[in-house]
Amino acid sequence: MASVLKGDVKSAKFEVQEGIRLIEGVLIGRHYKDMPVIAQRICGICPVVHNLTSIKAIENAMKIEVSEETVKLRKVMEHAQFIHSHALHLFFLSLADFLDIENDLKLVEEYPAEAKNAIKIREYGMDIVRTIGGRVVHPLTNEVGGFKKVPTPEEIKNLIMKGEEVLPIAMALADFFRKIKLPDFVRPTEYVSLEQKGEYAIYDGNIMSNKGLHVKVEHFEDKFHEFQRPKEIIKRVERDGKTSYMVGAIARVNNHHDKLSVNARKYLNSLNFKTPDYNPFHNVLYQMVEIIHCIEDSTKLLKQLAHANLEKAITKEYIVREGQAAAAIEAPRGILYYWVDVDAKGYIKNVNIITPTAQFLTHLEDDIAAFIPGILDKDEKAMEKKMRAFIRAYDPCISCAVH
Amino acid sequence: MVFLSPKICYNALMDEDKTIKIKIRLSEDNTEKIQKRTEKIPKAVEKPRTVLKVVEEIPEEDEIVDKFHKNIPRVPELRTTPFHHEKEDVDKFHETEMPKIPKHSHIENYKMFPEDHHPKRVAPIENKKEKVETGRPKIAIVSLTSCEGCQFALLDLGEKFIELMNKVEMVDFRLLEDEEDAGEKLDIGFVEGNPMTAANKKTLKELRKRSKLLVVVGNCAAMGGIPEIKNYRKEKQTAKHVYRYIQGIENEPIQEVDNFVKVDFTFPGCPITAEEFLAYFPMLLESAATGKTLPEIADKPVCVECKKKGNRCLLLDKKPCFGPMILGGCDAVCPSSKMMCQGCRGLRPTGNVKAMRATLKNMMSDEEFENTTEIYGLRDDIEEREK
Repeated sequence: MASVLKGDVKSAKFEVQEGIRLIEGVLIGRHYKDMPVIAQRICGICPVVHNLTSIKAIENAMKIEVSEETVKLRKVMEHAQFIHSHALHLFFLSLADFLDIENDLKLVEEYPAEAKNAIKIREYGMDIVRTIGGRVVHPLTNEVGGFKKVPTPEEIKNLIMKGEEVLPIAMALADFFRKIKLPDFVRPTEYVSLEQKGEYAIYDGNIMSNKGLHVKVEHFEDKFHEFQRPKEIIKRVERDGKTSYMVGAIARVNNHHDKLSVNARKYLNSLNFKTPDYNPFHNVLYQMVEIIHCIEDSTKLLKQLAHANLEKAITKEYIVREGQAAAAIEAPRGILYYWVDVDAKGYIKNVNIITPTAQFLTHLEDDIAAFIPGILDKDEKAMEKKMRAFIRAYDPCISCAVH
Repeated sequence: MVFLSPKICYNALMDEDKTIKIKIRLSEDNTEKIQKRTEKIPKAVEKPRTVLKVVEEIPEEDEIVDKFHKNIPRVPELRTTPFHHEKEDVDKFHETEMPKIPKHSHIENYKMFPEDHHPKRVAPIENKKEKVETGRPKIAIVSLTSCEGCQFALLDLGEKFIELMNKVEMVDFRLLEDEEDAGEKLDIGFVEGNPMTAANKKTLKELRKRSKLLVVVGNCAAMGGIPEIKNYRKEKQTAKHVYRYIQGIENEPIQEVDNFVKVDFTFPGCPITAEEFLAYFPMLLESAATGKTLPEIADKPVCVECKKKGNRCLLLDKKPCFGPMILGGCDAVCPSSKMMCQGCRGLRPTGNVKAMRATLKNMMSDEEFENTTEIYGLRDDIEEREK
């Protein structure tokens, strides 16, 4: 069972009952075609990104090139993954904390219009994954080399229409979010994300940080050290083996706010946050910024796809060959990194998976350590609320962390 | 999903005098920072760490606890006013029932805030729903180790799911609710995920005890799921690939839910088919209420729905597919995406493995066949059938 903090730190039904599923271990010795199928089952919320990152790692290892149409379809799926994951977290898991509402069910009662909007936004994301991927939880059509099946032009048109409908809804919800009060807490840190020339990097790019780091994905493990402490089932990652760092919406927006879509940038400006912004609570609003960006960008990509020959995205023949390679994609919660070693027959010799939650776990601890002294003077209730809001703003995922 | 860092134990308790006590436990690395930041705060009186005592129930953990204790600097307790707790209270607290601790977990990973068990607790849990007897059937959806995808499959039904839930009283559904489950009797207990850890197994057995019907949701619970792949390997090796330190980490062979408790009904699939859940749910409620015979999923292969959808049969194109021997009901979602059926819903009662093997002979080797059946824990069921 993935641990779920059911909301209040005080009575904290916080349990980690998660067992180790040993996903990396069970992948070794298996055929590469099984890898995307198995790896996406790490997480029921973000299967798309696990699926695509493993596919990309294998393609890099076997030096398989995919068509432009394939890349675009995958990007749209990634955007959709962001939209439905962020919408769920933002509205249903996190908002109650900042509006002084006791639980999510009450939230829906008190703000029915906003709840409906959040659901509509989420459904747009799910519609895309269903249409292109064949299913929302654990999509089916993606594979190494391209797609088994592609959507029809009508389906694409339908998605464009929905995207155009949902943008004003997202803007309205975003406006509502401006009302929430977020605590002042600042701790300077390093923001790590992907970077890509000319676009807000999600599907592809090199690793960069606001502290001047620029490396290729294949050198990720040179700069970031993954280790396990005895008896801990979640592995940790530290920058250069020393410092903690942050990934996710807050890192991405801080690093690339100039590459956001028009309306996302407008909304960001209206928030009046000064960058670099080191308030981790703002992560929630940056998720909202990304929802707007992903809706606009996915509609743009879909419009290009409407005029493209999607048959080109269908998997072509390729050569199975030996190789090792890394790949990274921005998951909703931050960089997801895969490394794979495949033998000449296509069987997996070794694999490593580093998830966003594993990366920011130490950072969360450091933040909390800095945060607690500042709220000691508050009464118990206020303190408890702040703690709970804090952890939720991070949006950690235990299924991913223990995989 | 929200997850509280296991490395930090934060505990805010309010006792009768409304004094506030906070405990922070930190790793060594964080100590200095905290000490710097808390210099101005009056030093705390050393007090036994009640929470840690909990671990005594599990001897294997003692060593870690001790080690952990040593690693904890003086920081842990900060407060602004004197305590009125006496040592006896603390002892009494230890005697009370302790929260569940996963056996495998690192010391910080257990239930951290046991003040519900604290005899001196006065702060009411205000956000608890008032218990009103609604007369509606009571259900709970409990999750063990999994990706939680089956719960999301349900949640993604949106309004349809909410409508369905309005007919029942949801006692525990972690994805939606904040309230603590009081452990009351249930009409139906739904269980998702695999009972991998001792804590998982305990949760499962407790659920069985309080439920009239126990219903399994999804492949991990029903067939072992992808983690079961390790059963077909040398286990230690599999864990060794992942963890440097495997000592003290729970790594038992994977077993399905029905190895531990009686199962009344199973929703198969990875993930489950939400529409199928909607269809059988009312029947299950009726069975729980009246004792009527339990429903059964019709013994039809995946091919029935596949044909209905107008798909071209993969086998005709000499592409492998397990459809004929696998239990239908998934709307043939995989073959509809040109993905072979890999059998996540399990063998159907009259599924013919021998015929299936013969059909696939020219499409995949025995080794490939075996490997593919491992993905969703089908291999052991096939071996059983072939005996």
